[in-house]
Amino acid sequence: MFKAYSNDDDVLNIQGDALTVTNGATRVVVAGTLELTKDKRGLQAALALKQALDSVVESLQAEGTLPDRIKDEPDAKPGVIDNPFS
Amino acid sequence: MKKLFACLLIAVAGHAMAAAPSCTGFAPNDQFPVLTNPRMTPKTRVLCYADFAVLHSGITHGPLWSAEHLTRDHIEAAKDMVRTNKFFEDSRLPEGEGATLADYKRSGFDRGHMSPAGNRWNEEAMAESFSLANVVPQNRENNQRLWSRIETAVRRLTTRYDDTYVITGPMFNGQQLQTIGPTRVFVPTQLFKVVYIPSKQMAFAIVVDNVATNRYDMHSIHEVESMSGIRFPGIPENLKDQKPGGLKGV
Repeated sequence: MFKAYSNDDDVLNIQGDALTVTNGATRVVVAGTLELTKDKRGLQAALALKQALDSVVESLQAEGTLPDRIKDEPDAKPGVIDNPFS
Repeated sequence: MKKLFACLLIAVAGHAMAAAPSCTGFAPNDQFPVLTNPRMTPKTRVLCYADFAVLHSGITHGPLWSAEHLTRDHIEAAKDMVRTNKFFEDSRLPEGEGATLADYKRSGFDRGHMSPAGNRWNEEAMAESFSLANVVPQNRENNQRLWSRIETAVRRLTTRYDDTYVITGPMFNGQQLQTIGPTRVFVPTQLFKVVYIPSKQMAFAIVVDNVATNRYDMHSIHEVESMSGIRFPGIPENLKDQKPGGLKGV
């Protein structure tokens, strides 16, 4: 079960790596291309994606007040070290 | 007698502890890659997973290589996998050797799989591929576009030729390296993927810079061995100078 915005570590994989839904505390990322064929496999994939997106919608609607747009959080600056392998 | 039995038990247990993990079958001809750069060898350990194997480095806090054996049937099964997975810290690693979930948080880098989730053909293996011991800090755009196309191309080769051995790993070149998080996980400068298809007597390597790019370079196994400091003894020497022109669909 995919619970949108509940953590930063879940990834829903649909049809292997064809489509992934990556969870995050402040953003959920949907990436890839999914072929929804008119068969059981297509239905299974569609249901999984629907569950994840329903969870996104429910979670957002449950928020009291949503901002128009949240600010991008800046990434931490990477550290630098001397390469011990060279 | 009881005492002797206890001694025997300890001896047997001691032997079992000392035995190397046995999952060499995921590497070509049952031979794991060998580190030829001695600076890379400290704090390395093999981790066996359900359908792939990793050599983890306590220096880089990530994998140095990840080996998988793909078959047509397994790729077919992998294409049907639907699963909610979770990135996790492998508890078999000593404290401080592995990367932590916190290291990647807001790092700006993707948790880039070496043996990809999309090649895993059962629940256990797919869950395990999210071990942080199987991922490196990878440029986001690279992971989601170019690298994903390369992984798809390898799956296509497997669907066509069946048995395929793939070894994927990071490279760390240059005087200085970037790190992420409190553990200081090394950010690779390049990534390689070595592909060996016994039935076709074909072996080659793909190398990409760990930046937002659409460019990949084809290399022979000998070339990638000298670039990476890793030798691939399971791949026949007479195939190590081949270099195909490119990958279909990438």
